[in-house]
Amino acid sequence: MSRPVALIIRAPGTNRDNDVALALDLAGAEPVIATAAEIIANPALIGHARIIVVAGGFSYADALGAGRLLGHELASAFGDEIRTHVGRSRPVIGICNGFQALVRAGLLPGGEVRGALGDNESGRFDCRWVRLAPVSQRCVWTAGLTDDIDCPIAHGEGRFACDDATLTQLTADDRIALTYQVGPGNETANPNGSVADIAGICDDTGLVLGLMPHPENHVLPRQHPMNGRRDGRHGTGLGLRLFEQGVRHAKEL
Amino acid sequence: VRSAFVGNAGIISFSPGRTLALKAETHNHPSAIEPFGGANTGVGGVIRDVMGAAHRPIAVTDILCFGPADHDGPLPAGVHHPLRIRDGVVAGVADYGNKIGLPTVAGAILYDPGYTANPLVFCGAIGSAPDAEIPSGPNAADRVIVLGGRTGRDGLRGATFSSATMDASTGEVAGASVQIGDPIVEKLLIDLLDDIRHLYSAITDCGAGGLSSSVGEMAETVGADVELSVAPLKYPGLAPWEIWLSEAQERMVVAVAPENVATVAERCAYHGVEMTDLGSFTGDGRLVVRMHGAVVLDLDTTFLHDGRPQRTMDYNPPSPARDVGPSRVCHDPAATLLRLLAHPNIASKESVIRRYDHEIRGATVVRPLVGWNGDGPADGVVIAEPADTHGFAVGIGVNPWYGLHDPEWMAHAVVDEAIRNVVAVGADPSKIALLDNFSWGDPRRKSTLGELLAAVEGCCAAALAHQAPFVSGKDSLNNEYVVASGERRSVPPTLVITAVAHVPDADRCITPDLKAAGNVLFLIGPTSADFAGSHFDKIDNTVDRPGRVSPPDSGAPARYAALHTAMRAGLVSACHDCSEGGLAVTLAEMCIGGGLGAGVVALPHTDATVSWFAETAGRFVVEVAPDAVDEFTTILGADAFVIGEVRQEPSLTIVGGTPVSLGALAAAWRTFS
Repeated sequence: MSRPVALIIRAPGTNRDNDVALALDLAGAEPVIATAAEIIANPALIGHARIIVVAGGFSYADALGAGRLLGHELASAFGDEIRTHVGRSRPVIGICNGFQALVRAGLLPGGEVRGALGDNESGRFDCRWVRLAPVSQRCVWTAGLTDDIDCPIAHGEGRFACDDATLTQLTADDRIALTYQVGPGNETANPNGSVADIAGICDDTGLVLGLMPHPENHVLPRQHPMNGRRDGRHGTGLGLRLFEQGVRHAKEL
Repeated sequence: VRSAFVGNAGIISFSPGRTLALKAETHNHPSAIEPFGGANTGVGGVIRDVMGAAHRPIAVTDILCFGPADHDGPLPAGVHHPLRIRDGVVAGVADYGNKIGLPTVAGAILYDPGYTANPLVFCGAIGSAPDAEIPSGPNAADRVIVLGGRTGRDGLRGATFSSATMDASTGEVAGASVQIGDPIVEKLLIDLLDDIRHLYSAITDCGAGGLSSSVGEMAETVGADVELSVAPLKYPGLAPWEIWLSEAQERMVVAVAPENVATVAERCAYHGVEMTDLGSFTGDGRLVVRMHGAVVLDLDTTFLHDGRPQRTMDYNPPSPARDVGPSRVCHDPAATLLRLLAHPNIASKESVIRRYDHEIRGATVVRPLVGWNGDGPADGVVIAEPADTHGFAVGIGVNPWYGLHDPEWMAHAVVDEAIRNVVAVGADPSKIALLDNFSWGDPRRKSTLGELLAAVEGCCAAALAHQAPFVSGKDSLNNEYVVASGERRSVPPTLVITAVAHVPDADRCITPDLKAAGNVLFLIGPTSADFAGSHFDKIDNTVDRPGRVSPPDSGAPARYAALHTAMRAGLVSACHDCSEGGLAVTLAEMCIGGGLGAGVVALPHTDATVSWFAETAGRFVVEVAPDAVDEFTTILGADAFVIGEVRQEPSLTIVGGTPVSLGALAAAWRTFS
């Protein structure tokens, strides 16, 4: 197939929908942005999509907690459609507030596995570039990626927390998709105090990825803050690669 | 220039097919009594100004002035501690900018005792739009449509209190005038307005004065007839005047032709924005306001706009000393440099910058923090849409300490500083637009009005010298506080200049961090003994020492043009402008950003203290690779003065002095947070 439709779900307060649309476009998908209200009125929108994206921002102003109201909609208003989508081996990605919403909806970590996203260890909103290692070979978004990804974080509640047993299980199941690495601007690697430096996890199907950083803001070499300082290394660390993996999987269905 | 000093924001042509709207505002008094809400609604308000110029907002700036963070004496009655104000203001800016989804990019933070009772908060916004006709309405018969938030008693009399002198009772009397913004509602408005761009004939935002000023402004010449009872209220019981004057946030007014109203309503429903049809623009030149049909106001719009008598005010011109004054002596330049780097006005602002999302939209090319580790000092920032080669740079110039000595030359110097900041990152010096924001004391005092006039004259001279038009601005006067004894405390004369300039190739921006050992360091521009209001004096609390503010430099425009030519030819590896703290601080910052050392072998002035710490405007330090030196020197001519070289060894070596380690420089620069 040519360009698989990527349905970008937004709610009032979502604000990185256009950024992720550009990333998906460059990765070879056909981005379609729809509000949660539109999807509730017309759940068939999900049926037409090969990829579902829950974009970042402050959905519903994060009233009642980051991603909580949108998560409630994802779980109850069109949860069946999303589960059907995953059942057809179609990928889902939630970024930042989208990750928070997927966790609130119970789609991540998924099943009996419990995890949560809490306030950054610093207690503050933090905007900086980080380096991510793609780890999981189970996750369709990261499997096969060999290069680290450089991209920014911009969040106040990104600390992934879970108990030891869960961490052991996530590790054993190869569901830790991305981890924070030491790199320029983050010599301490972990910007928010996440357990085991976790930046992103996937569900047990490997289709649903949630991550706090914003690979959609590094789809062109010039977006990298070191662009002027790394002659001959242009193009490394593009977050675009992650989206290309997801689109490739969607095309192969 | 497409539009200057009319409407909500200045509008300039940008790249082919696009225009930019520029605006900067103050929200000083509100931030003094309720820091979070004051700054929060300041950001929201200036973003609406850009929306009110029919542009989509794309970036936000903030310049903040506070009392000393370590203030430990008594505070005037009703005044919050500077740290409480700072933390509240920063949280307010971050909350609005982050939630509405706009990058907060350029800015500055100044600390001075003159701002303890009167903090200053300057918020700016930049918008982008397809290059189309600016809406020219309203036309007679267009409907008066209000979009966005509901109307309540919030913000009543905000405009009045914002212009009054403050005293111990201001917080109590006017505290309820300050609101907390709702950035999500404004985000919905941004998306809606993008969608209905072709459906309205005029637009303005509801700011100070609420509907009275927005509808009143739009009705100029054409007239309007509106019914207040249909306005959606937050709660019942508002008197007509309260509805008319409410400054409730997140509201816009558009004029829509009757045949387009249904489509606008449909788009409002889609975006989740509330819409109300208040009445019509009439064409009879009268502004008529009704409540349940009964006329509560009927004014001729000609009288409303031009009927007030012009005020005549007297002034005493300032008489600044313009000789260099007593010479400054520095026995230990290294220690002085470390003290300068640690001064709150020069030190790293990283702890604040990180709380603002400056990455959203993926268009930030040069960030407010740059360098090998992404946390070094920057000049201007550069924004470029991901798909566009064209970008624009934003630079800020502000220096109230010069203003205390010489308001006219201060104005000239801060225009120059804003321009240097954009030129340093690769902007074209022939394509610069300027914004001015004046925050002064009570202009009824003849000396204050005289300072203000002198500063305006400095702005005019600098704009003409650089051929850079002013397109918008705002003044905020009466930044004074009356203490119990009756003594009036005014802010120092504070002029903030914002420069926005075209960057022809956003893929090849320049940053100040040193790039490679062995490269040659040039100082561009002459150095003289300009110490009035300098940070060399300020670190000893002697900022009032007599001296001269950097004089207008007639050679500067040609120098900037030559530097830009060299940048376009790919000859410049790094560039940093010289401002507070002089050459020594400039070099130290370049070392910190680059993680490299520098050795200085030649001084630009016979007096070493002048060489290191004088604050002569018009200067840059430029790093040039050895194989580019000849061509660079040819282009810059007599302006190119070699001062030293970049070294791998991590220290800054001052000729005739002991080397200062890079670790010590960086530690000093990061002391304050």
